[in-house]
Amino acid sequence: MSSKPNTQKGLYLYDYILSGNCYKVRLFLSFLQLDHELIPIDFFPGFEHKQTEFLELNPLGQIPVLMDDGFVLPDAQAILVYLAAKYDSTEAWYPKDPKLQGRITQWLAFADSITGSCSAARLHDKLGFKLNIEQARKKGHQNLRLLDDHLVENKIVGKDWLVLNRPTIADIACFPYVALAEEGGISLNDYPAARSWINRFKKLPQFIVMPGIPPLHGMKNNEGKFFNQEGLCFS
Amino acid sequence: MIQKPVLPKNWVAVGFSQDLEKGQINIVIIEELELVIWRDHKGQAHAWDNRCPHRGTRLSLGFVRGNQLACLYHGWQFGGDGQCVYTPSIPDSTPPKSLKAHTHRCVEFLGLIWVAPLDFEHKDIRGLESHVRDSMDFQPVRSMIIYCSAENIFNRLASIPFPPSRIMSRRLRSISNMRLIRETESVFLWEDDENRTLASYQFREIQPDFVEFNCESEGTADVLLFALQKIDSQKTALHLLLAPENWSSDPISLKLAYAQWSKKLRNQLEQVF
Ligand SMILES: N[C@@H](CCC(=O)N[C@@H](CS)C(=O)NCC(=O)O)C(=O)O
Ligand code: FES
Repeated sequence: MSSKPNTQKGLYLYDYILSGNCYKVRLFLSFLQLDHELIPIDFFPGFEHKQTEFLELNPLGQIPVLMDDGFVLPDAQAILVYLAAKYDSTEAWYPKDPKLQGRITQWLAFADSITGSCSAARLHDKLGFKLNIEQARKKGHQNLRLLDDHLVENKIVGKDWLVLNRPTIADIACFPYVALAEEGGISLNDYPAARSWINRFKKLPQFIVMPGIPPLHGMKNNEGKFFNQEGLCFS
Repeated sequence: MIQKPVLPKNWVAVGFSQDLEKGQINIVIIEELELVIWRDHKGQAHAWDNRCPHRGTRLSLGFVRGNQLACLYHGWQFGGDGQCVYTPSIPDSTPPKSLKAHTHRCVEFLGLIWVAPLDFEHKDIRGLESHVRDSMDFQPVRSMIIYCSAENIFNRLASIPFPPSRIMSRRLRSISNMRLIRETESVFLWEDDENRTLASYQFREIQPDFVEFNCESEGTADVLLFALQKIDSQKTALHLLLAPENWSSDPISLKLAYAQWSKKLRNQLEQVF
């Protein structure tokens, strides 16, 4: 691995720039404004996540993996819950309410289904992974329809996001591979509510981009300022 | 020979105005023709062929700059009339008149964005307006994709679900055997076992693919508008608007009820018979 943290202290993310699952964690770290260090993993073509050294961190051989003062935690959804519980003193992202936590967890599980469909299709198209592409796209469209329906109905009752009228980790978990769906040949044309939800995301303060998820270039944020290429605002 | 798809000669709704913000660019497909729709910073919506006249790049990949659309590839900029007004590689020259994006008519009406070809003679959308009952306060319910051709949607209306009744009375709830009967070409009746009418549906075509749907049950009448957008032979977008007899009672529950009803409708229409 390129650079293993030589100290146990601090927050580290084993990361791959093109991974939507790593991006969810980067995005949340940015929303929470937490200092951290990225440890790049050569996912492709190096398959570093399948090598002995990495498998000791995560026997599943998957990224992302978080390390916080020596505590090792794989799985993007698990990491979102952990970061919210430990660092979000406002409790906005993962409110301490049994029903809301249950509801949020439902979407965290759904996020893995989006990974299994939309992300799989993208791995096929972009990195040449061998898998059943028709099936991946079909499942991707089923997931997007479900998400779009839910967003439509939430909007009618006055909620702009998946669980509340503000974003929670449920939204963060589902966002990346929906926003990247077109890279797997899954068009978002048919899902206007999901498209608007993506745009709302891009208007959040501290939003960051990744390759394939461009900023709202040419559009205005909630304060009426324009976005530039980097996703930063100017008047 | 493969023919280039062309726009039908009527107004086609392609989505709700609220789903296209200033500066936003979307792709829409009408009968296999791919269009870019975008809204400039004045608020005007535009619908063009989704091809840059320079090298054919999808204009939907570009950016809105003020009231112009800039192509991603070489940065040519096009004004609202489609005319190319700026070519970054030769900044001081005025681009010739021949450099023009292929534009269509694009207007907004009833909270929907409508598209028609430039040579469509009924260019005034108000031609439609006079056919929609005025004084009705239509609001968007939703857009949805149905994997079913528009023709089949009309053929399968006999499977349209029971209306979401506001005060689902005990009487209605206790009835298990309701059936939908086609009274005439455009009138359907829901009847119980004893042939009593529980609800009625009436359809009226305002123009091709734009249908008013009158839904009466338990003494209340809701009017829905179905604006259909043919995408291809398998797929249709339905843009659904609602105007109940009065909005005041509980508008949110009512809209939600119709949004849920429309999912049932989609299910029924997508079933292969
Ligand atoms: N449930 C895991 C899935 C992570 C995942 O699928 N990561 C991909 C990269 S985006 C990966 O490492 N794939 C390799 C593999 O699954 O073998 C999470 O959400 O973190
Ligand atoms: S292809 Fe559009 S500017 Fe060249």
